Amino acid sequence: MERLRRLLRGEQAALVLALLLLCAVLSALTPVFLSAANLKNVLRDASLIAIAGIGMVVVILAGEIDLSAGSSQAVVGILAVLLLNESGSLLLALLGALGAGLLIGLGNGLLVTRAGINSLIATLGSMAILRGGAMVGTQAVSIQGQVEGFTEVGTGHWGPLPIPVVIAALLFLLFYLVLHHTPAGRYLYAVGGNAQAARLAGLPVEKLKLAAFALSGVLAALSAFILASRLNSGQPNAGLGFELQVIAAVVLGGVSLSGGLGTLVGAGLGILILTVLNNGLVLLDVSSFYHDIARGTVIILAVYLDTRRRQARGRV
Amino acid sequence: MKKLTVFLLIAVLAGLGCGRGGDSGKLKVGYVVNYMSHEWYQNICTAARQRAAELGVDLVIADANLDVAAQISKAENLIAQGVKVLVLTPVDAKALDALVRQAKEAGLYVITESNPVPGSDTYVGINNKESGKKAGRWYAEYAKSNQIEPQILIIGLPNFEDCRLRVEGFKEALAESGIVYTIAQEVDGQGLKEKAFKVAQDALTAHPEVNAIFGINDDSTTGGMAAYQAAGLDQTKLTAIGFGLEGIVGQTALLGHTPYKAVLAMFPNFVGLSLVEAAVALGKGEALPPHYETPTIVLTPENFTTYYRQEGNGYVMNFDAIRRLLPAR
Repeated sequence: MERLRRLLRGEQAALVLALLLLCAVLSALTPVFLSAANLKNVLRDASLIAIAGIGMVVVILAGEIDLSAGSSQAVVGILAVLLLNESGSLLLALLGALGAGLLIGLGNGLLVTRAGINSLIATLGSMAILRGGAMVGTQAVSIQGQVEGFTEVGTGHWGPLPIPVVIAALLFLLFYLVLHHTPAGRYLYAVGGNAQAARLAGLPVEKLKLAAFALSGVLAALSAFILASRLNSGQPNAGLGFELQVIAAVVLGGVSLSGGLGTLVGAGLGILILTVLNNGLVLLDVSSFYHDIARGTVIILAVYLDTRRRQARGRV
Repeated sequence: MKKLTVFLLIAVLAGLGCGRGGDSGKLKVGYVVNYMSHEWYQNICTAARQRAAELGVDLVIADANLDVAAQISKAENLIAQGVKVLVLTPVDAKALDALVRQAKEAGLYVITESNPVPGSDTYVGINNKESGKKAGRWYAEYAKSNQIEPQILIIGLPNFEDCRLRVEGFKEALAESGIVYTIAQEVDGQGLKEKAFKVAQDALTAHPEVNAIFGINDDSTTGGMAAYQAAGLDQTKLTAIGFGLEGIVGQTALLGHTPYKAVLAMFPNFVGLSLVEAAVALGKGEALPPHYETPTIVLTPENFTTYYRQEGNGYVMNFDAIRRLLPAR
């Protein structure tokens, strides 16, 4: 009983309740919602946002933001499919994709830490450059994958679970441990909470921020690779608005945009709530015109309730 | 000194004037496309440039990138540059009245592509509703002859009137055909493969009985097909009907022995060519009908080669065959 009470008072209680309530309403309205096939869909969709979302959480915790995650879905997806078609090797395509993501992330990180450009502006710029690059490189024509087995990454299963879900779960576990049980994780919170104090305490603030951007780039690239596999193509229009979806989901999960505050578990719950909401609206055949309204309302409501809760506990 | 200054000023102004009008009497046409980052418009622009070169037309193309304010400002720049014919693919047809009026007051001819705008001389494009009906009639016939009871998933783009009309036409033709069918669900794929895949995936979970997918463009239909495959449903039972055949994506699906059995071909390159031909006709003072219609037809792997011929690794349109689809203007 005491444990339950503690859980209900805990950081993520409101989010867990919101998610459960949403699931209960949807399962009452449509029996399909709780079917295994649909739950797999929800998890598969959530996994793409989650993989990029881990990187976004790390960057936001460090007190920065990365808007290039959506455009890198396009550039990395195209590069991966081109490499795949040229070499026939899935591994080479994956390494190429991750390498490209690393370069994008390092580029963003250097713009912020070395050139001193605000991360909102720096990544807004790289977002536009990457999208433009995808258009120039393909002349707006998608590149079709021509290698048998490529789609398996995005649509196949390991045991009963879709492959992207397993990848996302493993990454979540890994980064949960890194963020909450290693010095590096604590340093990241310190940097995001108060960069000046962290610097005075001798923490390598710039290096940590650079690493956060690099990680965000690599994880966004992994998500792009899986998306390209699901679609068996590199799409120059892929990931339009994806960065905002990811940011909205992690903020909904209680990660503070001012840095240094929030958890990976909360972000995961935020991602699940938004994915379940999107899924439910389609299952219920609600006109797409209402989808954005519903999403926006949920985000504002959740963040408002969260802020109230934190204020009540004297944390803001 | 004062006289010299005035003389020089007049000379410079005269020079500018000569520069503006003195480019060998070529017809100057300005085109503000709404969204160059789409294969459809890429193909329109490529063909328009090609036809302009053939007909000796000076064609300038600008991209509004889905921003109606940018479309207006770019069109105003073209008017200031002295184009004789202004061509617009409206980002939002309802926002262009004033621009069209301004262009007409400046003595220009105005052509719109895909949507009519009041006051323009003509609009060039397909008849969306009738084309949707052609696709619907084809599928009704196909379902009848293959004894299919259709359970249809429609992947639309309801924000755009053109796309709404395609769906309306498709549904009307099905209703008129007398076959027994069910529209299992209509979803918004936003015209993008990625989004179409996601919504189709959810819709197919709710309606695994779906055995037909109609999409308002190539990406919508192929996104739906990918979701059908990912859901592990029996692809031999699926009939996908596309709309557009905008480029390589649709051609690959149609000719690749996939469930993509038919597509309403819109011939984007022919639209581009028609834009320039309409501009030339207006430039000569010819009167054009309010709707300068470009042809459409349902293509299957069987009749594809009548309208496209292979060139290298790709296909090019057979303009003569397409032209024969046109009613006499």
